[in-house]
Amino acid sequence: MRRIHSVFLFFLVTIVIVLSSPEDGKGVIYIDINSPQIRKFYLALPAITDLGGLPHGMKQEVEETLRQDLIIADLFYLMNRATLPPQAAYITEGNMNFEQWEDAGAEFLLSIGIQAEGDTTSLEFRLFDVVQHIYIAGKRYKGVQGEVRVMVHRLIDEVIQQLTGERGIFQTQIAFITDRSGNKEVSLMDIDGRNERMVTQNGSINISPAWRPDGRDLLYTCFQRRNPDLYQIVISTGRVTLLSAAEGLNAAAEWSPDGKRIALMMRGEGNSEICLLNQEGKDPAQLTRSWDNKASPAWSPDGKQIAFVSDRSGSPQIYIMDLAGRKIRRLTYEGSYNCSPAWSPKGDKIAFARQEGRGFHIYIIRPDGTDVKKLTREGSNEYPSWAPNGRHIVFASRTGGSYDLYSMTADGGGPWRVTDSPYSETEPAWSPWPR
Amino acid sequence: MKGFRIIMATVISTVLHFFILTLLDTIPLISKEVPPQMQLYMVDLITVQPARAVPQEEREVTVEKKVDEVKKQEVKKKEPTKEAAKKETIKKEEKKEQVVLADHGKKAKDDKKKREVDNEQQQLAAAIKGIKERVAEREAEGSAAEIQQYPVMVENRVKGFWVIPDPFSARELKAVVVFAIDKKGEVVNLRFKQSSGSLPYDQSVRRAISKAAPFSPPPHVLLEEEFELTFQP
Repeated sequence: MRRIHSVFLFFLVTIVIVLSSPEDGKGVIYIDINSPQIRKFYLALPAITDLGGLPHGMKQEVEETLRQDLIIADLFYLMNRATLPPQAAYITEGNMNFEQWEDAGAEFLLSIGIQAEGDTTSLEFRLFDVVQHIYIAGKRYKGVQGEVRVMVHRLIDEVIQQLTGERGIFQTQIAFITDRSGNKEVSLMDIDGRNERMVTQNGSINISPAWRPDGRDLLYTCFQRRNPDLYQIVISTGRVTLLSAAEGLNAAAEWSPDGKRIALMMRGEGNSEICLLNQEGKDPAQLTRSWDNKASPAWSPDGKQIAFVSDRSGSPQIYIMDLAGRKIRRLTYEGSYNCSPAWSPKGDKIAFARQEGRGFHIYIIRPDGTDVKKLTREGSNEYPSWAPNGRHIVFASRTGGSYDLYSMTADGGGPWRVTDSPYSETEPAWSPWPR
Repeated sequence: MKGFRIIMATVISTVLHFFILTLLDTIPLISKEVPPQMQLYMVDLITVQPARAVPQEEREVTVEKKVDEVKKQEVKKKEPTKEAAKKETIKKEEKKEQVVLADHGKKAKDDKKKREVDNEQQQLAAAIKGIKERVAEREAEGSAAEIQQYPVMVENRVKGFWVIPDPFSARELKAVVVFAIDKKGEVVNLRFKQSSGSLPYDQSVRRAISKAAPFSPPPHVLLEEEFELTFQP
């Protein structure tokens, strides 16, 4: 009897549970949404508001810098001002009329005001999400008059950070080699080509600048002692250290992403080999050992692989070495001359230069050898270097005369001229994020 | 031994449970199926006219009864006229009356026809009204196809508005949002079940939904439902 009772009880309990569970609350319909649209945002940038005391020409300068940065950022369609709603007053979170801008088709609105008081300039922005009717962020920057461009760069970086969660590149720098002085010297500039300053002034030949991952030091190869030796220079102080002076060759050096090792070309037995040094330039370890010439090592961002150029097939081609097993595989098969590999900071692409006719063009390829794309169309283009955001590439280009530097997006958008001089600017190296 | 009893109890109760559920023909483990509803609607639509046709016959019968009554009255009236016919003096009046009566009969016939026409119109109107009601009901409740299509429509619409400038940097991010859609097609009760951890990414998701709204009004059944959208590039 007791047994029957317990069975009955259990039965009751189960039936209650099972019956009630599917009826609990509302039903849910599950939807998976993948493959978002990849396009730019519609950004309304109403005319900059003069909040008082602006010296002549400053508004134009800010306006130009803003537009240039926004275009290079390649994240926005800048909406035509003629089609935008008339702007009665400086737009703030207090008087923003979202419907009006939404009707005009804007997705975001960037309202900018600028004010000068004596020597101080204050620049402020307010960023609105027009679709969701949200005031996203607003900041004010203060500085001396001469810094207004820097302030605009900071502002745009902040806007990009707010909208994408990614850091902007407008406070980064580009190191490059210039022959302005008649020799080849390492120089630095902002990514819009302004604010150029010399790094080395030794009157010798300096080549292949490379950034330490912390952005404080540069590696370069100098022929000052007749032999191509490897030097390191602290940018802020200008202090130079001789890192490696092995006989024959110490060139095309590159810091590992963790900043603990340096990969470079060194002399082998009648050829050039890829070697590793520690951060003091000591403990050389030869990575490759074969008859062919190897050049231009480029680290993968995880520090586990190195791409380099070798002529073992008879022509220069790009190969990838797995550091753990020292295994080498060939990456490029097309083209008779592929050089200057540069691994994207996100690891998904490798940019390189391929000879076509009498000149070179920049290509990108996936590290597995698929998806080869030609990025440049005109002139001869060499020395690609990635911006830390992995979305931009700087390169040297020549259409007849001297080399100039250009930047473009990783899908070939642009390109935008960075330098414009009668001298040759080559071997650009885009800096890491500023600290 | 006690353990064995418990196991047996579990097994027996489960078996009994399913047995009874099968008997009841309600298997709660399987959520409500949509296709049978469609058949139901189709059946409903066809049976609309017969349902309304029942009073139609009744009306016809009553009309016939009325006609009979009129005929009887005719006969009753004729009888006295026959008596009066013996009187020659009233012959003319009789004739007049007969004419009137004939007229009356004609009128009755006309009435009958008119009523029949009216009836037909009424039936038709009723049937049309019935169909309209059904259609309205059907539109409100939604056909099976609509119910199945609606989430697809939501997906495609939101997808069309989801913009990320650089999917590569967002490739490991995932956000899950839950919301319902009200009668007007507006999004209500939107909340993040799982945040991606990146504010701009979450914002891109919110933006996609705000831009996609308002949706077309959902089928009636789906008003009770919530939509759980997973965003993963």
